[in-house]
Amino acid sequence: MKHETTNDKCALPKIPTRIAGLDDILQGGIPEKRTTIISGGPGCGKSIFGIEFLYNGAKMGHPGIYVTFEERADAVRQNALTMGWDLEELEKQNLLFVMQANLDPSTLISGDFSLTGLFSIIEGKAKSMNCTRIVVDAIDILLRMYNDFNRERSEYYVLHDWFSSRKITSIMTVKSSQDHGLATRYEFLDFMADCVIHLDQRVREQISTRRIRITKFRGSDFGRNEYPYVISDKGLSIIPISMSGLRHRPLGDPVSSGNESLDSILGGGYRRASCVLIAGITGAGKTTLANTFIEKACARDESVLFIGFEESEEAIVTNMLSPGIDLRPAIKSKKLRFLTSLPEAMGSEEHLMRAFNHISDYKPDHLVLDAISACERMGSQQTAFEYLIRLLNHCKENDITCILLNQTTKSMDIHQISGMEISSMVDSAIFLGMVEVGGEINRMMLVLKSRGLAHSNQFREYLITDNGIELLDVYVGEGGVLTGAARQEQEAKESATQRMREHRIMQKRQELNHKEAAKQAKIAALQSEIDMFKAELDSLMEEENIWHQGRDIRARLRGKIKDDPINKSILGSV
Amino acid sequence: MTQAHESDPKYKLKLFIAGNEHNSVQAINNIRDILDTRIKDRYKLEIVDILTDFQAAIDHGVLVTPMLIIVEPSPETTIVGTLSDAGKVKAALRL
Repeated sequence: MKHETTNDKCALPKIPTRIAGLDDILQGGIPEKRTTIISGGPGCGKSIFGIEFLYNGAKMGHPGIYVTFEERADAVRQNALTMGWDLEELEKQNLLFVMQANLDPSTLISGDFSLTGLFSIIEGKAKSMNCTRIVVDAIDILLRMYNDFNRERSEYYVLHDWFSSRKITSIMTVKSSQDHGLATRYEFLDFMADCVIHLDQRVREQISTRRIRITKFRGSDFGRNEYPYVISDKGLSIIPISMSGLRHRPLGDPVSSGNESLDSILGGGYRRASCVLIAGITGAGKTTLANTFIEKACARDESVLFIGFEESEEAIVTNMLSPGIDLRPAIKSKKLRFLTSLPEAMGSEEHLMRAFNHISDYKPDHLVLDAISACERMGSQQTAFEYLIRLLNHCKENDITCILLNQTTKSMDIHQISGMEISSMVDSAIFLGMVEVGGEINRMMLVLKSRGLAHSNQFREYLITDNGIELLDVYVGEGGVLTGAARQEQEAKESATQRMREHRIMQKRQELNHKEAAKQAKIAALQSEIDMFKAELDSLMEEENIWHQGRDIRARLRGKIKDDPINKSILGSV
Repeated sequence: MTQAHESDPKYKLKLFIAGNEHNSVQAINNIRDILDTRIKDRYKLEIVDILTDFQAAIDHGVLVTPMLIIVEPSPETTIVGTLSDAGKVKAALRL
C-alpha cells in the first residue's frame, strides 16, 4: 500500500499502526504529527505496542526511532525477536534506531538541567534517517528525573511542543497502576495528548485477561468500548468485537443445515466460516438441529469438532438415535471428533488451549459448541465471554463454521438469546421456542438473523420425528401464525367457510336455472298466446278472403269485371 | 570517600553543554570556579556542545544538559545540572 496516511473527508490525517484490529477501533490509525499516550500497568504490552508500530512502519519504508528508558537496547532487540521482528536488520537499513536512554542511577544531580541532550540526539538521528515516527518508552521515567510535579508538567510541554513543531508522530508510554498516587501524578499527560490509549490487565477467577480502551482522540471518532486483546507470538492482537466483520474474511458459500426446509428459510443454509447461534429453551431440539447438520456434513466428507459441556459423547450418540440421527459412521470415519469436558474441570484458558490444539491438529471444517450457557461455569460470565470471543475469533480466522448452542429463557431478543453479548459476532441466529396454545405445547422456529442471505422472517412450526426435524408449512391465517390443535381448528374452520361458500354458489346457480326455466315457460306461454292470436288472425283473414271472393263472383255475374285474370281463373275453376 | 595519595591525581573531565543555553553557561562558570580554585593546572576539561555534535551525545548517553562526566579519577562519575552545589561537585571530585 502506497498511501500510508488515511485521510477521509476533512478528518484528521491518521497513520495506520498495522497492529491487528487496532486501526479498526481507531478508525484509521493514530493521529499523524501528534502525540499518542499509551498508558497501562506492568506487563500490559506498552513496549510491544510501541515496537510493533515502529516495526510495521519500518517494514513499509517509514523510519522510526525507539527511545527506551527502562530496558537496555539489547533486551529490546531480543524481546522483539521473540515476536519474529528482526530490529537489527532494520537498524542496518537505517529504518530503525533503538536508542538506549537510561540514566545511570548513580548519577548525581546538582542544579537545574534540561532535556536538550535528548532532543539533540533525536533531532540528529531523525534528520539523518529522515524519520517522523518516535516512540518514547517510558515518558514517566524521563520526567521522574525532575522529581518535581510542576517541573514534570512543564518539561512534558516542552517535549510535546518540540515533537509537534518538528511534525513528528510520537507514541509515549506511561505507567499507570492501581496505585492511585501514580495514576493522578501523570493524569496531565492524558489531558495534553491528542490520543490516549489505555491498556489494562486484570485477573479474575485466576484468569488473566487484557483489555484495551481508547479514552480520547481529538478530532476523531473511535470505538469507545473496552476490547479484549492478546499478546501472541505475532505481537498485539486486538479483538474488536463489534467490528469483527471488518477484519475477518467474508462469509463463505451457503452450506446445508441438513434440513431442506430450514435451508430455504435461511436463504440457502448456513454460511461457511460464519457463526450460527441456535438458541432455545431446554428440550426445544437444539442438539438435534446441530446434529442434523453434523450428520449431513460428515456424509459430505467434511469434518466437525464437537465441543460438549453438557453431555458425554456416548450420551449424545445414543440420544440422537431416537430422532433418527446416526453419528456412529461419522465417528468411525474420523469425520466427527468429540471434545467433551465439564466446564468446571479447568480454567477457561486451559479450555481454550485444548480447543485451539484440537483445531490446529484436526483442522475441522465446522465446530459445534454445546452450550454457551454452560461456559459460565468456567468461572464467571466474563470468563465465558472471553473464552467464546477468543474461540470464535480463532474459528473465523481459520474459516471454520461455528455452531453455538445456547439455552435461553423465553425471550427472543437477540442480545439475550446469545447470553454473552456476542450477538455481533453471530451471523445467523435461530431461535427454537415452545408455544403453549390451547393446552398443548408446540415447537416453533424463527430465523432471527441470517447475515448476507435473504431469509424468511416467519415463525415455523416443527416436529421432532423419527426422521429428524420436520418443518411444517408456514400457516399465515387471519390470526397470525398458528400451531398444533389451534392450527387444525383453524384449518377446519377455514374449510367449513369454504364449504359454505360453495354451497351458496350452488344455490344461486340453481336459482338461476329455475329462473331460466321460468323464463322459458313464460316465453312458451307467450308464444302459444301469439300462436293463438295468429291462428285467429288467419281464420279471420280466411273469412275475409272468402267474403271478397263471394263479392267478386257476384260482381262478375253482374258483368262489371272483364279482364281480371284472377277472376278469370276463379271463373274458370268455378 | 576520601583517598589519600602521594602524587596528585590527574583530573580529566568532560562537560556536555547545549550551545549557550542558560543552564550550560552557568555550569561552565561553576565548574571552572571550582577547578580553578582547587586544582588549577592539574585538570583537563573538555567542553562538548551536543548541538553541533549529537554523535558525542549518543556515545555518552547525554540525555540532559548540562552533564559533567568525571572520567578521571576513576570510577567514572556523572553529575547533571548547573553544578551549583559546589559541595556535591567537590565530593564527586574527591577534593
